[in-house]
Amino acid sequence: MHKAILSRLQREAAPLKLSRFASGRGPILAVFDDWSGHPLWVAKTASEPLHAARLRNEYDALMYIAPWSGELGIPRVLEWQESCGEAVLIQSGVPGARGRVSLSTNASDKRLERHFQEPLAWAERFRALVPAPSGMTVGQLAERYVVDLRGREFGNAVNGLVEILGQAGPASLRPVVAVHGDFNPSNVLLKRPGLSVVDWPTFGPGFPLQDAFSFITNTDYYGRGHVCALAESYQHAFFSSSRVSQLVRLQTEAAKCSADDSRFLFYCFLAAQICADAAVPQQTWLDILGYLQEFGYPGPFTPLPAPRLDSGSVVSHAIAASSAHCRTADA
Amino acid sequence: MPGRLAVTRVVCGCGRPVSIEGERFLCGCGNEVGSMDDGVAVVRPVAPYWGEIGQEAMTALLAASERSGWRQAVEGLSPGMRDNILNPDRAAFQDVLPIPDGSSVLDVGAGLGCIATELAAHHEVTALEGVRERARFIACRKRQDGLKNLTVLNADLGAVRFDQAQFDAVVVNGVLEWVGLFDLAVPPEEAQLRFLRNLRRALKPGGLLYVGIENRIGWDQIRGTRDHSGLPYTSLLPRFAARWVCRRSMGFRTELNHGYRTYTYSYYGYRRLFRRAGLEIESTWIAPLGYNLPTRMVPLNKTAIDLQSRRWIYPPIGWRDRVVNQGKRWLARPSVWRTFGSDFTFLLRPLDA
Repeated sequence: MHKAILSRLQREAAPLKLSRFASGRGPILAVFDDWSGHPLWVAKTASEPLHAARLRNEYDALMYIAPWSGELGIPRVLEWQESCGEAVLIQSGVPGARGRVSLSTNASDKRLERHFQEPLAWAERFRALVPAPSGMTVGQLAERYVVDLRGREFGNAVNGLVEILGQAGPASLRPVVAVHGDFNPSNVLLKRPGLSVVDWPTFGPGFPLQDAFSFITNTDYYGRGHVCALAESYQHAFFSSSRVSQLVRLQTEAAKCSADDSRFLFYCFLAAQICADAAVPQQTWLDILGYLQEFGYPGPFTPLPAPRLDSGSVVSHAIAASSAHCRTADA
Repeated sequence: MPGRLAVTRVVCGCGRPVSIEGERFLCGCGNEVGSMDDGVAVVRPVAPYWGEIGQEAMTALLAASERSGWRQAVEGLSPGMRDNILNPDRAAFQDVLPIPDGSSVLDVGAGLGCIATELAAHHEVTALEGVRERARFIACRKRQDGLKNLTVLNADLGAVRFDQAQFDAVVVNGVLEWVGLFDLAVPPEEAQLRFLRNLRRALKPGGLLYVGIENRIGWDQIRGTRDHSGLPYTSLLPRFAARWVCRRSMGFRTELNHGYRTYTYSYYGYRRLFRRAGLEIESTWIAPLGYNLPTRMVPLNKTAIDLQSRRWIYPPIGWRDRVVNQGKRWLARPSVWRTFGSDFTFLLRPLDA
């Protein structure tokens, strides 16, 4: 056991329950109060330089947003140690339980409200409270995505996306905002009232609506006897007349985005997801880009036909791959 | 970490402690309890061959390991066997062992050394293995990987007696259930008690014992997973009925399992057994992926179980999923997991500590 964790464990007077969770980036130990069941603190360790760097990002993020941690339900840093490529971050436990991570494509308004209302309100409050960690504009951020995309061996498939990201417009001149970066139902713990948000290594500068889009598309949608693949989720959330799509429209309107702004921000979001999510197979992104290219890279709220599910379709591959990814990640 | 390894001590038949160092391990009474053989400290008697692969295959593996390196040699094995030898996650429980780096640890029944070699990255480890060939394989790993903190000890797990107060932690992973086979002259429970008392004696003050083992009435057993007898459901039967069934069966491992001697227990059975051996449960975890892959260790705590259970709530695309999810939510409570969790891992401390 890491000495920092051991010494903290020895200092605790109350009866404790120690839990080990598996993570692809090193173990997570959570310590619960045996009487109340509340998590007291959570220790993340990394023994490889790459994972340690990610943990360092999380530490920097938690320190930056510490003034608002109580108000926004964010963990506080209790201890940080880093040496020789190894790192340990001990953060306070936050109350709350994991809510639903899936939603029916035919979910009722009440269910939709329950699923989205509080997280999206939290994202808005976070954006309003926490100052951006950089003075960049969204356009400059988009240039970073372009550089990243060009280095990813996507070939010509990203040309259309790169072209959109390079276009100057009102949205590209907006200043960046602070974003969680991986805001999805798995990182949100529901409590009454409010919620807590965990897992902050991806915190950084982003564009308005990034967290809201992320939460909406990272919900597992299901319907007609199957779980939607990523391509279907994108179509359901952005390119259909579904209630979720209407919700996205309301979000963009609240952020005072024109149709062109919404288009630019949507493709910024897509680029950010491609650059950030190493777990999703490259072929999945290629298929989604191919699907959007087929319709001339439309802006959101343009109704598009659902991605084809027949075995000959490229999208079917994306669906199989992303479904397998979902199952593997969950298992 | 200390510059010099602490020396393991065993007890001679005369009752005197004997240090496992040098070429021959001599007792003050003049008796030679064992000797060093090719990097393995052999304390006689040693156990007859037993293993997941046959003796000939094991001998061939050893020869290949010496010739071309153990990592290359295991490439030819089945994926399950390779995982058994290579997977560092088998020692993932070390993250919850409350001992500092540099502690002295005894790994009882080290097998092919997966856990012992992982532990040796942070601690001074003595790997105790009963079978000669397997102990030699661990020694080969030690030599080729340059593990200076590892002592390989080949001795009969049921017969070797350790001197008192020498280990900060003792790891007994998947061994306690087999102890009934080490000594056929006494009832299995009695053999288990002797085994635990011997290990308890070897603990330093404040030391701890880690045990990974199946639940007698666990969910896997109810679903019909093969018991250590080689037959399904035998752990669920009353002992006399299990003995009767095993004597009349030709299942895998039943020949070795004379009658039925591989006793496992329910949570309360273990608690009783440990208390009789002078040990108290400090922590209990359920290992949902099995005690051989303790990457997830869930304590008997409502919040922790709830967090773990929600990982298994899949999108309810049909009514069956809805029912199953509802069931999973309802079952996410400590009393249910304590009773039907398939694999336990325990952290024990001596009662008088």
